[in-house]
Amino acid sequence: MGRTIVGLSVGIAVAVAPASLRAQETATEVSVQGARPASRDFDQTVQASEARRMPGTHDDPVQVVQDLAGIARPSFDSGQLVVWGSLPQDTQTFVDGVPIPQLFHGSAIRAVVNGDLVSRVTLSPGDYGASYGRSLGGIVRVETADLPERGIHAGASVDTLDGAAIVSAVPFEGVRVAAAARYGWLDDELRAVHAADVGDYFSIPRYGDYQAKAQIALRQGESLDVVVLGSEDALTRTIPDLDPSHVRSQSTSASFERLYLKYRRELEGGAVAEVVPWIGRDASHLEDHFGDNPAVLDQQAFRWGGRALLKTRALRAMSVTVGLDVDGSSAAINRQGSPDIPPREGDIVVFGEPPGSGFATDSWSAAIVGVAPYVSADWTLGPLALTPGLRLDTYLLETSRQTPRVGQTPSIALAHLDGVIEPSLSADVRVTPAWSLVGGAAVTSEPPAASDLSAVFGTPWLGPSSATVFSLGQALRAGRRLQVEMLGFYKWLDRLAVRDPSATPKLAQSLLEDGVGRAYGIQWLVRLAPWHGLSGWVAYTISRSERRDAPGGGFRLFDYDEPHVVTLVASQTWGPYAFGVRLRYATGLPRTPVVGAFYAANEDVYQPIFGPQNSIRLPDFWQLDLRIDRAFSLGGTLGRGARLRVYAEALNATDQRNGEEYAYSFDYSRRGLVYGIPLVGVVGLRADR
Amino acid sequence: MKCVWRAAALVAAAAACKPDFGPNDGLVTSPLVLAVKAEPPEAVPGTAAAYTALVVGSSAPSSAIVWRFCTAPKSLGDDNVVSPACFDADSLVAAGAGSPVTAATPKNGCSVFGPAMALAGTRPQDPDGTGGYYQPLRVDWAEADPTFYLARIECGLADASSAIATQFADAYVANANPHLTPLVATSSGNPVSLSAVPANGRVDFSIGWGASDAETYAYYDPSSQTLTTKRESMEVTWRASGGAFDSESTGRSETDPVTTTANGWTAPGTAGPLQIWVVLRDSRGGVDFATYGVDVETP
Repeated sequence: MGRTIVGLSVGIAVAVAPASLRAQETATEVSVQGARPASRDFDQTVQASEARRMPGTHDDPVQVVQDLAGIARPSFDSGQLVVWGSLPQDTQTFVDGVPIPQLFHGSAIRAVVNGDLVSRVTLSPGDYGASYGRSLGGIVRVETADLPERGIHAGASVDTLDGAAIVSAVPFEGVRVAAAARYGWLDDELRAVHAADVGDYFSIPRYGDYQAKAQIALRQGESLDVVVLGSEDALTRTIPDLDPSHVRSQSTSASFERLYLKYRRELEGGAVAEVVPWIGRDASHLEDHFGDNPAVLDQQAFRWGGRALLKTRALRAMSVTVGLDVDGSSAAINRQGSPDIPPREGDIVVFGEPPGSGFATDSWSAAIVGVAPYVSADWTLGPLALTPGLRLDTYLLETSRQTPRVGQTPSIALAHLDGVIEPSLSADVRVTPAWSLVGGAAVTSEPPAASDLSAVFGTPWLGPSSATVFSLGQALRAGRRLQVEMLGFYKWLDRLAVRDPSATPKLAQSLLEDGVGRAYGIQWLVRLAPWHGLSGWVAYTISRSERRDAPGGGFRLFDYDEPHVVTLVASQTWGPYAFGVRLRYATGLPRTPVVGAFYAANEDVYQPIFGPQNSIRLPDFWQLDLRIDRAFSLGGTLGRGARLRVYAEALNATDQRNGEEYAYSFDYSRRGLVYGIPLVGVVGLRADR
Repeated sequence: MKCVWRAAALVAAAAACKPDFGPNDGLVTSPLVLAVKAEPPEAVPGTAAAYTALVVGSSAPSSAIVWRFCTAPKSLGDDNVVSPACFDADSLVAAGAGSPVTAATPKNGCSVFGPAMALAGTRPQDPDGTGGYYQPLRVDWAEADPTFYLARIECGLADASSAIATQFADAYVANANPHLTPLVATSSGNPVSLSAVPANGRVDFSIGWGASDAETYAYYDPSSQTLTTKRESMEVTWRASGGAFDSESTGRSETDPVTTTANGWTAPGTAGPLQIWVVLRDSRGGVDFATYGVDVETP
């Protein structure tokens, strides 16, 4: 069953960034590069050196991505990235162009890549260009830093969350190497002070990660990087009860490894060739026990892929990029338990309610191979800069079983090919030296999750979902440091996998491609590049995101819809001191009210009767975070260049009581709030030489 | 509101605040159909069974109880045990009034709530962890919230080979109701008379069931596609019209061979008569219950 989706793009006229802006965007001190490079409208890039000084980051530059425009805030600061009204799993994260399954350790405690190895972080919330794909949301790109060209350098950091170390050296001429590792101990601390109940709400796993990087200079203008990444999270918790049928236990783990090469060669005439092959492994395990009812989801996937591109100047005012983006996975999946766990977007659930008592099981394998050739151009025509692109995303989708297993009946596999033609166009026009208009349109697609291709829990012949995104905005510069950006967006989502609402779905068709969605809004970003030690930004996004689960049905609010999200981030350096402040506001997430209850006599529990879906909201969220750090020179103690930095952060400095979830009494007659973190202090040390 | 503050390391603190809705002490404060006992507790659809309700918390007569079978299956994403359609009259079929009542389950139970749906090209309903399928029976009484009892129906296997299905049919024995043994009350190891419990007194209850009540039964493991045996787990629910139990329910897991379970109870501070209800449930839907009168005296 092959299908092709053709997306149409609409060009929106627009310009070239002022020369001064472009120059600044390449400067290392720029804080947020909101107003696009010529080819990408409103990518938001944060340099690691600045990001790690922002409050709430715990010295981790990648954390700052949660504070950028266009991102909603999920409950309990779980670290899920909800970009422009899309599901967290619809936003992909990349390290040097290589996809990784998770950006953060549990509850966004820490990024999975050592901050000392990070050069910068970029969020592309919508139209992210032809070179990337397979994502209905945005993409987050983490770029690793170049290693020091001489000497041996080492750094270590310790705080109340974890400890990390990095060392780099130049063993041979033209060869630079570095290795880093981190180990988390917050779970041990909480256990030691008998605060394990915190983990009922915040996922606080035992975590660790490691990285190694080698940079090899080949010929002039030719380099090879070899990088290894690894990360692991594990969490086990049990809620005991005198009644064995009420005992709850959960065991989760997630890990991944990546090995990739990055070969780059600068060719004659300014052309650049780059090849990034990669392999890796993803693994995750979820096991919940609700009394006698187990729920298991185990996934092991071999991942492989690569990127290749050639960028060359075609005309005096035009460069052309031709590339290939390949992403393959071969997953073995085992799932047991009620089909309603884990819940999907659109499921109506109550915090803490046990899943249904139905028990199903399935083991299957799924191979998903995406091959996407693409071409794009950067074309400058006076004040107008255009970046047209065309990408052909083809998907080979293979599952081991078309129908549920019955006895020893041999399985019949299913393979199908889908393709999505994805045109894109972004443009900017310099109206005046200080005012640019930007806009874009793009079609993107995303393959189904391997876990949705079960003949028991899902549908084996699901195809890719797609999104069509339009954006239009402007950038205003006031002086050399201050920039105001505004970007409106509209996104239409199609062929989303949703549960068959029928009580009697067809065999092996528990999920249908009938879901559609729409998200629209405007985001503002006011940013200040470092000025007398002061830098920061204010981001405000007003948006609405809705879903329709069945043809002919009405739209409902998306589970993660947040109409208003405001983030103010500022940092002021003063001699060896730096002070930071972060203020966040977000509308409460939608929830479905409980309007009554009934008693389930077999289980001796009350169960809820629901009102209209997502018709109430959690209370609005406010949080103020503060940070101070002090740098010391340790030249006389540890040698020249040695530095020590001490920092302290106060998260939720005003001890604001933020309701993160509704909880109900046993008979659902009363409703209360589960509150988020109160005032929390984090203290850390960081030394390097 | 209960806020738990803990120091984590020297200057870090973490806390979780969750709403405090009071203890789960088994105090009955509103009318409730606490349990339904079917005899037999498992049968093929269309078989008549006698249903008896244990109603508490109201003086309304049991003759006011209305029984209706729900004919609507629930969707896959629904956490609840029954479909929201079971609250619409269109999906309900009268089964009688009063208690006990004798009624036959709808004959199409295995095609609506069981595995026979696969024959029509639709996804079969999932069994529970004991391999059982259930016909919902709605019970309405006085001002009590609607109550649903799930009557276990025999439907055979959904996804097994014919050989295993035959073996299963031969090996499987329909569930039988368990039987409570008399309640034992002690205080500091000494017997306590329920007709003279001191106010605010602490009583340790123990209750059990017959040695054969936690039955072993044939179970088809869908993961390994093999026939095996499981043993029922047992749960005891404790309720009272006064005082407070340590826990609303206690029990034994399917691997625990002990045939008794214990619970503590603190008598109220005021003298007077009250009632204690004990419900025994096995994991296949079998039920037994008992009611005890207690007189609390001023010490």
